Amino acid sequence: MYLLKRNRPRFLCLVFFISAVLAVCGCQADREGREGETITVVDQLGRTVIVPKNIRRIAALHHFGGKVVFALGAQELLVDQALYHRENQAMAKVNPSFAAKPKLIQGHDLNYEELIALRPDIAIAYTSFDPSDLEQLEDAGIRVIAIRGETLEESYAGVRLVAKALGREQRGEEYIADCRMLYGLVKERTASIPPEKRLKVMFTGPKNIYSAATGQMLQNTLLETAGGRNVASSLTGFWASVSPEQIAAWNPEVIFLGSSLDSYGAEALFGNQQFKTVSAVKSRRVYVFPSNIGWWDYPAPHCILGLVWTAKTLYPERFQDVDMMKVANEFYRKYLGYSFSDMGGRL
Amino acid sequence: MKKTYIIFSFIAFGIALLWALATGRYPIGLGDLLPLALSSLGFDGQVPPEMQMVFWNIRVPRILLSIAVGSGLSIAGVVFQALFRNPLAAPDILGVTAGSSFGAALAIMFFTTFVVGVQGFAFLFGVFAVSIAYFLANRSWDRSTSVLVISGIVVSAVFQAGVSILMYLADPYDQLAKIVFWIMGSFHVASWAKVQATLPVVVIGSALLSLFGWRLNIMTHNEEEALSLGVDVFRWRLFYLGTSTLIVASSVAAVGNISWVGLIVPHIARYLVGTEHRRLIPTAAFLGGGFLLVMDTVARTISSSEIPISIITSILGAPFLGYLVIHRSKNEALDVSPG
Repeated sequence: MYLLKRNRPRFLCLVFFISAVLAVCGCQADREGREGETITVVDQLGRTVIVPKNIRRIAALHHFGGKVVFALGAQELLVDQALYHRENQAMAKVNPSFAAKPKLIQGHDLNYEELIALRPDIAIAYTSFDPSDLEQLEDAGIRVIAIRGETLEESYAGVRLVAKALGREQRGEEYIADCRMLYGLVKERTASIPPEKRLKVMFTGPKNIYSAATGQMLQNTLLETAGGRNVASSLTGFWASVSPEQIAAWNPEVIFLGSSLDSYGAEALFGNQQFKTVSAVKSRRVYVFPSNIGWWDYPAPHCILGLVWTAKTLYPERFQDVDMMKVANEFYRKYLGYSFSDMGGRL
Repeated sequence: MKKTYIIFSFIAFGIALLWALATGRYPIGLGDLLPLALSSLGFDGQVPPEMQMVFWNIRVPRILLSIAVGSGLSIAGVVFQALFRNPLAAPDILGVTAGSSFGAALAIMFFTTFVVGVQGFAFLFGVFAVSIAYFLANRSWDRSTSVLVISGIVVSAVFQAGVSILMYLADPYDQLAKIVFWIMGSFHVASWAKVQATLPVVVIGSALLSLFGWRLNIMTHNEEEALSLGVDVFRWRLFYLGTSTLIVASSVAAVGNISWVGLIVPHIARYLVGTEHRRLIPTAAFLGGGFLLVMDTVARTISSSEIPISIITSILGAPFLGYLVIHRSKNEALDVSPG
């Protein structure tokens, strides 16, 4: 006791030294031990994220991430119902284990507390999320990858990113190759259409019939690639509101409807006095954009089905050999686990 | 002097109407108006049929609807400010907007296939909300208008919460977008059907209110004074509230929520012709109709994409009210009772 007391400073120094050495060694050992067990990725917000190699639990906070996880065949690892509204409902009908998962996204809100309680290894967010929310999740010990799919190329990068984090690169490349194949099929057949023969198309938005997809939107790419001319391509922003007179002045030859509610539906449009002069209505070339179990115009690259459908709808004579239902069934079976018609999909 | 202001507001309205008829995204100009009118009367005006259809089916109903809604909201504003003896009383103070929004959201989510549709639901729920507020206030021992204001706030809050619940449950892709867009208000949707549903209510309601405008002068005094003059305050209050609620509900049901018009136009009108309600109501009608017509014409013509009407009415309307507040002389503009 006396000894201890007399040598107290020295003793404390020793304790401190030993624990410091242990700590450093421990860190070293920890780092070395994990070196082979982690993967480092740079997400589409430019953040460097280190994720564990053997991911067992994934939370997708946006349906783009959810679709990518499905496409990579990792849907069993999802802890939440990560698809979009109607797609969620269709999937829950055919897949009981999916139906049993909790829903984190309601409207545009996310239940962060429940998310943290689910203890996922990683969460896949969208780049539009609030950075402070992402930080909060990181603080709670959840690795977050933010991805983005506003253009096809961007979405391919997003797929590659998630594929790398999940160690499923090959499957990712296969998915991208399939999408590129369908894109190439359309491009090849529509490229030869001379500019003056390209149909004038209007793609109306979900909020009402007087809104149009602008030149900045993915829908614009779909229309142009499918050989159409988007009447609203000079507008900017997201689903621009347009006056009925402007629509009459544009006089689109084909109208794609981005919803089927309320003033929508082809029949409601045929009875609408404001569209009487529009040639798409006169020739009855108005189509509700598919599908009833989740939209095909967004996000990329899932929208590739919408591209094939658009091209075939605009120029049926050039795509006689393409059976849309067959293409959709195969794509769904391969990348969502069930065929389109099995999930209750209709064209 | 005051007579010249009435004539002035009438002429301003005429100019606004002519301008609105001759502008738009579809090329129909001033020179086309006469041939268009001739063609519709059966003469050969040599007008392409497309132009006729766009003019008669798109431009004219929209103009009529914006005038009707502008006049209706302004008259209702005058009435509400007089009844509540409060220059800040807007026509939605008793919950009509919140009720209509709830009805519209309900229809957008569950009853899109119903015949009465979104417009019918919005109208019914708007009237329903005000009725609740009225009966709630009637249960109180205090019969003053301030109790009515409070029950209006209560009803508004409950219906707004209802709207929030529906928005929370809505499909974020299309239902939610539609609800948000509806609440913002717009004249895109103007059609002859909407004009037919709205115009009669506004015209008959406005005529009734103008006819009994002289009574409003007494209603701006407090209850005891009015009672001592032998006026059954409570019965008349029900008449004014009921009529103006029908006008506002039918306007909101047709085009959604248009902010500021019902609050600001009564002030401008009062600034011009004073607080005598027999003069005030027609002036407010012409000013309000013209005001909203001009605002909507700006909204639909300034660019290929439309600008939400409430943004324009707020940006141009609110500073003008500020100007009036600063430049009014004593007892002018903000005082609602005559004399």
